[in-house]
Amino acid sequence: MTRERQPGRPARRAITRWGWRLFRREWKQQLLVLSLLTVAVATAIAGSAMAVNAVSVGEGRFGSANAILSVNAHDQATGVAVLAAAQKLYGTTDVIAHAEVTVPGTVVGIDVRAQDPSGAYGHSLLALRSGRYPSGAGEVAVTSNLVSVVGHVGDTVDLGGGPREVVGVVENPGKLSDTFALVAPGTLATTTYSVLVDIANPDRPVPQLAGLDGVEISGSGNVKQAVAATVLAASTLALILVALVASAGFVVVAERRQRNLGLLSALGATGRHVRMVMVVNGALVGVVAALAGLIVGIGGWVASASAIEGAADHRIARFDLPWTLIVATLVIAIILATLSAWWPARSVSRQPVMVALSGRPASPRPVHRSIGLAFAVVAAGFIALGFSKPTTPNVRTALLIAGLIAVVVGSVLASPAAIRVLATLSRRLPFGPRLALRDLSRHQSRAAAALAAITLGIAISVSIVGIAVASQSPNSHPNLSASQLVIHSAEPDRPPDPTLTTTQLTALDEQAASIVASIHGSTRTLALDVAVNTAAGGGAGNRPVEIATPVGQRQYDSVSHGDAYVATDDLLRGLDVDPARVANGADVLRSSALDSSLPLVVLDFSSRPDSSVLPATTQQLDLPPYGSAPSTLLTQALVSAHGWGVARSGWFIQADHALTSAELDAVRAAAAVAGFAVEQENAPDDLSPVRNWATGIGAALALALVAMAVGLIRGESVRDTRTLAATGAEARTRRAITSTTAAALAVSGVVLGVGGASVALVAVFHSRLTRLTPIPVADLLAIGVGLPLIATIAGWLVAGREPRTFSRQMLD
Amino acid sequence: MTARLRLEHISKVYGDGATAVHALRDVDLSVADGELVAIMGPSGSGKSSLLTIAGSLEDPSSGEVFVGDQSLTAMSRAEKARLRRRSIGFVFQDFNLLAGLTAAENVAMPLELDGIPAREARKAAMSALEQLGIDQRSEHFPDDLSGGERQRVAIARAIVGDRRLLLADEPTGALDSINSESVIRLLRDACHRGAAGVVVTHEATLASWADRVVFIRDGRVVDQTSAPSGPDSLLASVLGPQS
Ligand SMILES: Nc1ncnc2c1ncn2[C@@H]1O[C@H](COP(=O)(O)OP(=O)(O)O)[C@@H](O)[C@H]1O
Ligand SMILES: [Mg+2]
Repeated sequence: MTRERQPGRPARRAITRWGWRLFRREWKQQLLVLSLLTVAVATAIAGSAMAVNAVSVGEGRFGSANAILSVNAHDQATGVAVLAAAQKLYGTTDVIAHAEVTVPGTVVGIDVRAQDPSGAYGHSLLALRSGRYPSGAGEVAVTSNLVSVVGHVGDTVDLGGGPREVVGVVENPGKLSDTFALVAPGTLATTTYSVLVDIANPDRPVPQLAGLDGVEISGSGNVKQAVAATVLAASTLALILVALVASAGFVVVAERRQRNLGLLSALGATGRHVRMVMVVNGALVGVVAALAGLIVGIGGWVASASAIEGAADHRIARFDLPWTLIVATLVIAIILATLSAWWPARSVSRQPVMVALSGRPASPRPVHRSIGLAFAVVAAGFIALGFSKPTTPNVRTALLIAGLIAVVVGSVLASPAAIRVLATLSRRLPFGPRLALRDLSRHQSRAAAALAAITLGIAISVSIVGIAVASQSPNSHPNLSASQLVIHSAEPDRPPDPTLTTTQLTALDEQAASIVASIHGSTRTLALDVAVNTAAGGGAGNRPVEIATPVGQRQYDSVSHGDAYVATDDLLRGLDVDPARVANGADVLRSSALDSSLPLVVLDFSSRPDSSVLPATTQQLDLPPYGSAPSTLLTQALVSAHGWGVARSGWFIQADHALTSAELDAVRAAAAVAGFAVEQENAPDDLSPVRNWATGIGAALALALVAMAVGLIRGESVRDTRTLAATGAEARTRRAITSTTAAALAVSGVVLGVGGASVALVAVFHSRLTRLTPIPVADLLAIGVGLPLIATIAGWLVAGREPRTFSRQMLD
Repeated sequence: MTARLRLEHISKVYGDGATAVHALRDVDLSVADGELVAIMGPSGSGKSSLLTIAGSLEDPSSGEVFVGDQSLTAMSRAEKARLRRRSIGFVFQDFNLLAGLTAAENVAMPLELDGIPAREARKAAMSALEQLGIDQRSEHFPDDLSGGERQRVAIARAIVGDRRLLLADEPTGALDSINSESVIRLLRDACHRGAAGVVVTHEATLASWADRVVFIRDGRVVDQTSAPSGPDSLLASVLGPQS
């Protein structure tokens, strides 16, 4: 025997070359896998970019600092002393001086800031839109929404302290709605400052300084963590989908190459060589899909970034992306594609050479999986999801992802059972469908990956629909109707005053009436009063009493969208409710059109540090069903029982027609002069496009996968089909078989996918299940009924022609 | 002369119980270097089984196979693969060439799998193609070759390097009579240069080109004869082997 020669490098090179040639020959047949992988990678990348960037860190106030010292000194000297002390304590400080200035002709106070555009921490909070930054005492720049109020570039204005020329338009990139006038540092006489600092240990108490009003620590860490968890969870799901789609696709590829691989074995290739041909293919598909996905994902992100800027209210740096996450996604996608190719290659390389050479598919393996195990895994996932606190910033990432994976795996494990049920039902069916279902049940192991991918694809789209509903829910009850307005006399920094005399109140009411006078037709103006705990005294005591619903331990959601109004007799009568109908002992009156399942509490903020929480007896009445309208009221009995004072906070206006924009403009202008704010119908954030896109894309993906699975199942039974054709079965039978197979796959995918997604959604939102209402019937119907229907019809139409798989055996 | 291939008491049973098929029953066969043996028999008689067992693609149910002086019985899968890379050349009826590789690359593949550098393997492949008179088609892909050309490339691959055992299962099954004859002649020429060959065919005229014909029926060797010398073999005995 000659000296041992190791095949080594030349063999690997020859195999790689052949793998590459086969990929080049067959890439069109792998287009479906390629494009599905590309979409999954692109979605993961664009999604993580959006999620990471949609979070406004620190609401555009902290910049790169982690704390803000609020300085409100008695006099300028104290203020300067505090600033010096802060600098001594923290080293670098970035001082933003504030003054509230009233511009002649308006009653609205304008925030004038003296801030250094190249400040150590705050430079990211200033950007120039046009013109230049102010320098020296005689210049000012304004945000674009103040141009019409303060002045255009070139105008000279007086903001106190002498005339200034407007030299530029600026913005806060961290909060586009931020409204302010900017002057050069040191040119503003004030005693109010925000000092941006970096506190080494934010948990340590900050030294008390005279004039230091408060310290605010940035809470962005938790939010960032929660976003990272969500992004990671979503990417994990996308990548599991990648792996399943790739496995399903590569089973087809391996089958198509079976004879070639058998021949390679006959020539003396080892099992490793045979697997390598497929692994090379998988790696190539992975690389191509990763690169294409990267380009598509980033392209999609850049294209949609400007739309997101508007919604997120902050500028978004297009290429400030989570690169580590993106690179990890790409690497994992390539590895998963490679592994997915390795698996079917392994079964080919284990086949006897002659079987592989014959081109006959291996005989089907029976699938034995216990439905009990599937349920146990889903249940474990449900519990893990429930405990991962997914709706809070303190989300437990590992638990969240483990739970998601368990629910996915469990649903997928249940698929043999689902198909078995279908096969059992088939006994009564006519010949074609019966044969189809029996084959489906016999050959399901090879279509298992495709079926799992169908399930997961549907589950993901249903989950997105569910999350969209849940995100919509808080605003889904409109605040007002188109014919209603609320005029607020009070602002957060100008709380309602319970000590006004009757004369003063009448004057206020007359002011409101004159504002409303510009509305045509008849209008009804109802005074809105809030309850204030006057006994507590002090500034904080003036925060009005609110009505809320408990959402967790010591966590409350305000149900009154701000203020809870007092049910005065005038108000009730104005709303066409007889005051006599108010029951004895009722604390809160609530519109019967609103959700009555929530327990309500009354929050009195005056008893600091914690507000006191008063359980409330609720009575349902025929009040307006709108959140900002007087829809949830405090009874007068409750108010007087606690000895609260009553203060006028605004007026509810009911017109007899939907208000025109001209009327709204007139009312807003008049209200601005009086220093009042106007609230109008606020079309809720419409997330239905998200739902519809998720439904459409999910259904399209599922259909593509159904087609793939049908090919796998029917490809296996080509001989049967050929025999059928030979024995004179018509196209009808062929159509019936294919459409039944497609329908069965779609139905079991829908059942398992919708089921799995529902389990995950219920687990995630278990403490606020009502947020998942109203159930998006249209989207669910589209997936649950539309998808199987389309699959059935498409199967019927496509099977009319001789299937391509007929001739496939003859190729190569 | 040593026997290149020796089958001793080979039996092959597919399946078990009521569905068991006895494809081969106690078959003995020995083929020497330089000898071409034809195997004839009706369809289903076990010819292909015999060839795949001789070529290590399948294991016999009982009996022993020797290639050269090595027994296949104790060999691992990897060792059998190495034996196929180095010593055995297969020619099948209709599916012989790897898709996506040129004729030359197909012929070089077993050598490259065995670790011979690409350039060297290519040189050997070109000389094998030359022997088969098809070197001018070396850069063509299987799809662009005719059936006869494909079988010639397959034969070139079966003899490339110093392969000593040539197994052909109905190599002419898909060819017309002119191509069939030239393929069988090429096989015989290859054997007469020193390799041992076994060719399965059910055409008596083609079998007549072999040095010996083995008849097989229901898995048993029923007759073994020296074939009547065909006109060409007569010529050959006078003039020596021709290319
Ligand atoms: N993989 C296999 N499984 C079961 N039976 C087989 C298999 N291969 C061959 N047979 C059976 O063995 C017998 C011999 O087959 P084969 O060797 O292919 O005959 P031949 O090549 O002479 O036509 C036939 O009855 C055939 O049906
Ligand atoms: Mg045969």
